[in-house]
Amino acid sequence: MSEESMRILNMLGEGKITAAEAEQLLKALGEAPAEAGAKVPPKFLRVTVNNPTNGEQVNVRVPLAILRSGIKLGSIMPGVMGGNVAAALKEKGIDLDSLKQSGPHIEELIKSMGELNIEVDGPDKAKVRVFCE
Amino acid sequence: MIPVLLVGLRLGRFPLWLPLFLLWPLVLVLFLLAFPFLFIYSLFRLGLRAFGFWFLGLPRIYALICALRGLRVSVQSPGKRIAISLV
Repeated sequence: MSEESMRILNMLGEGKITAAEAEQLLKALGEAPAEAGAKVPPKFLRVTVNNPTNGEQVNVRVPLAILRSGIKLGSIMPGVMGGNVAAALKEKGIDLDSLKQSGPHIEELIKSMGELNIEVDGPDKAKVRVFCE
Repeated sequence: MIPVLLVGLRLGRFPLWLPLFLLWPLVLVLFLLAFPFLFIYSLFRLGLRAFGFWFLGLPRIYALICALRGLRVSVQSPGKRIAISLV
């Protein structure tokens, strides 16, 4: 935070300016005040299946750190394995090269997964929910 | 980074906690003993890529084991319950 921003916040704290004036001044400085509900990257991917007809419940919680580590590991695997594994996986529809490219954007991807919320209602009243927390 | 310390299993009504942290020192000792042989073998098998495997791949495999902490799978039906959790 710059010195100017600190001064504005101090003036606000002392009651010399109003909150609206402080916001305007901060905007003019190019620093919007931090949002109260700043986005926190999710930690887990949750999959829940609830079938009330037969009482079955499935609850899976996968740490997203696995995704992070897996992509980092996957990015060096083709080089190590001489492309054999990559070729075999490509036949199955998994492109390791695309994983290598997604490496630098993984944090952005995980952050945006925080908004993921998929709900599926099955014909037998089963409910499937995929979300991040 | 701390690897998985405990594995919790629940088959039916009774929970079972397996202390995996007791296994890691043993694995480390065995690995250090076997490392020279494994490294020489990998040099023959992979050539210079062996360096990539041991010095880039191994820390990432370790990171993946650490990342497994918090994994939880639970399947429940009337009268049956199976749950696995890694702590």
